[in-house]
Amino acid sequence: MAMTRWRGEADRWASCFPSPSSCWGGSVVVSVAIGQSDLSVREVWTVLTDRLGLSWVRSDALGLYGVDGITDLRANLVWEMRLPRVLAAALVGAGLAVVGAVMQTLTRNPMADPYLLGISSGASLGAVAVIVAGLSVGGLGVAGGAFVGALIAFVLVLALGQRAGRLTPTRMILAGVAVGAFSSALTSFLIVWVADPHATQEAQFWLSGSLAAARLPSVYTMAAAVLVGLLVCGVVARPLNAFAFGEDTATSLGIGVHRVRWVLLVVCALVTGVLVAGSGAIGFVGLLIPHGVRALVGPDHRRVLPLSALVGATFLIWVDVVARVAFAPREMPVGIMTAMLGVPVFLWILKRKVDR
Amino acid sequence: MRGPRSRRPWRVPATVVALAVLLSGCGDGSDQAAENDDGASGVGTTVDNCGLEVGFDDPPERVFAMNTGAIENLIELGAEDRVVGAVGDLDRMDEELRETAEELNIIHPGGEDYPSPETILDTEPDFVYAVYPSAFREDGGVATREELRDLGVQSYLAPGRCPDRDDERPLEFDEIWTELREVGALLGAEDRAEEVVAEQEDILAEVRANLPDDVGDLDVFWWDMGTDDGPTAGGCCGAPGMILRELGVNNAFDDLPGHWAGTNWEQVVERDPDLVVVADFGGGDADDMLEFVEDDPTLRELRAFQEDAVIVLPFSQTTPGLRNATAIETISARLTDETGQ
Repeated sequence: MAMTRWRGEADRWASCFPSPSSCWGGSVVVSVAIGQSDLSVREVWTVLTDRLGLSWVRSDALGLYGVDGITDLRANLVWEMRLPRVLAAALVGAGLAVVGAVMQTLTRNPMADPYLLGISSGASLGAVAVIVAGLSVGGLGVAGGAFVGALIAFVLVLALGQRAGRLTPTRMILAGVAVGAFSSALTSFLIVWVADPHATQEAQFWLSGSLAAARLPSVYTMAAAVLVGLLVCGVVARPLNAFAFGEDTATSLGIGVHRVRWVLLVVCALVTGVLVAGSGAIGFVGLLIPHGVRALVGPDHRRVLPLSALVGATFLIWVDVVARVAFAPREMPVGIMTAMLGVPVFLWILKRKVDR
Repeated sequence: MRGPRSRRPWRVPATVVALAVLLSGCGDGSDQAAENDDGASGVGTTVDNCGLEVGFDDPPERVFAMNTGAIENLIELGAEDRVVGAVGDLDRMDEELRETAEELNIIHPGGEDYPSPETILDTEPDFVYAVYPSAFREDGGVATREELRDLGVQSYLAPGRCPDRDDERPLEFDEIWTELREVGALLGAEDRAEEVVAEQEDILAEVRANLPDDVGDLDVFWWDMGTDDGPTAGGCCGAPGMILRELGVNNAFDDLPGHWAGTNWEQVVERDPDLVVVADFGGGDADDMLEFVEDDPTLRELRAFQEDAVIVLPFSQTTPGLRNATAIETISARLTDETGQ
């Protein structure tokens, strides 16, 4: 019944964007060339192809000749600072959007997002503990602290949210809210209590969600986490469709509801923990991008998950470009910009949805 | 932004009103700012401070110092015997003065946070002196200056940091001298204040006379704090800007608003400074900052770091106050060395 209408909708939408992935790929290349430092696209292209050992790409029939005499300093700026940042934006955007979509389905709650289970509050507490109290976790610094905090919060939520090994959505959400509230209170306590302006400012920046600290090593970690997450979610895309109609339906279709839920929750929590550890709690992406994608292509997870990943990645790349460039010579944490730029677009999609 | 910021939403003016009880019976408790009958009994000085009149018939005997800088200035003015309590971070204080400061009644040491208003009023001050506006902020400060005045406690805030002062107006040394002279006058220590100002002026004159000729071409990046999330740099209008202007060098981040502001590393690479000034907040902080540069493949390539053109200044010399002249001395000595003049 409704499915056919969705499909027609999807095709119409897909015809406007023949390939969202090319849109994403183009975004990566172009956005690396945009920044506060004055580098031409050609310079950036030269550096990227050189470092990737693809110099031949430049001198082929494309006529894309490189630029000579790029200093090590500028080459490093592109390779060690800007590229990691763009990649981090893509990974965080993709990861959060997919996790958000999965959480919304698992909990059957449109308000669910990756941070529902106290993960961001736990990560914030861990990060702030490191920044403010100088606690160090295995020499990993703030990111290490955030990851450990996220894990502790998640384990607590699982412990509180299960009954005889079974997770029920309502209990999980309540446990998440409780753990989140407690962690937030402790975080505020630490900031107020220590009150070193130095640390306060750093904590503030981190809590806002920022990609400024992204460097290659942290990007590798994020990439591994997001790839694993996408693979697992891809495998269970079909069973997830059954979840949308409730547990009983899914069970009657022969799906091991509880096992699927456990696996997905743990994977999503780990992915979110890694992302939050690297970038702070960036809002909006995980909550509204899945809704926006569903509004465009319907509820089928086989479409929603990959598209959420691409749209989330592209969206965050460009929001971070604005955060990096629009306020030069200052910089805005990207987490402040996501909702500011995203909400109007989201409302526009909703409105079009209703109008038709 | 520097200076403590914390949120204490539960603090309402009512607390302060309730505390009036504490103070009833000490001091004459009324508005004494407006009246100034000459020669009645003592000095009788009145100054206009950030739009509030502050005046005493007799110099205050019980002074509360709200920030590290205020403690330093009071010691400089020889008024340490009258300090009944102080809030500040002695680790960030100038070493010469630290010994004297350690004798004082320091409340809640080791942080820049403010204690509760009760703790401060408990020392029964008649004069509260702060150098950061946050001290008198409704949210996170101790009490507003109006509230204090209603309790019969007069207050003074560094004129360079008045809330109504234009953020885009660069701080000037004269404002620091004015502060010292006014506080000196209120405390009946005008002569000492003049001496201190003269000493500082001499330092500046000396520096000006000996500066190498070509410093005007130097771009200086004032690195206040911040590592992997991007640096906070000295902007147009605070102590860093003032110090660099006085030296005749270019502040690489003159386009940033306010005293200090966050920027990003790309800008630093772009502006390729000749010299970097690092503010050391103490506790190995400057070492961490320089280590971060050493570990960063991009930043360590910067000329200034390659050539080790880095000057580390203790915190007290980087925040507006009397120590700024010392900072100027330190940097100029380095410039003279570099240029071999």
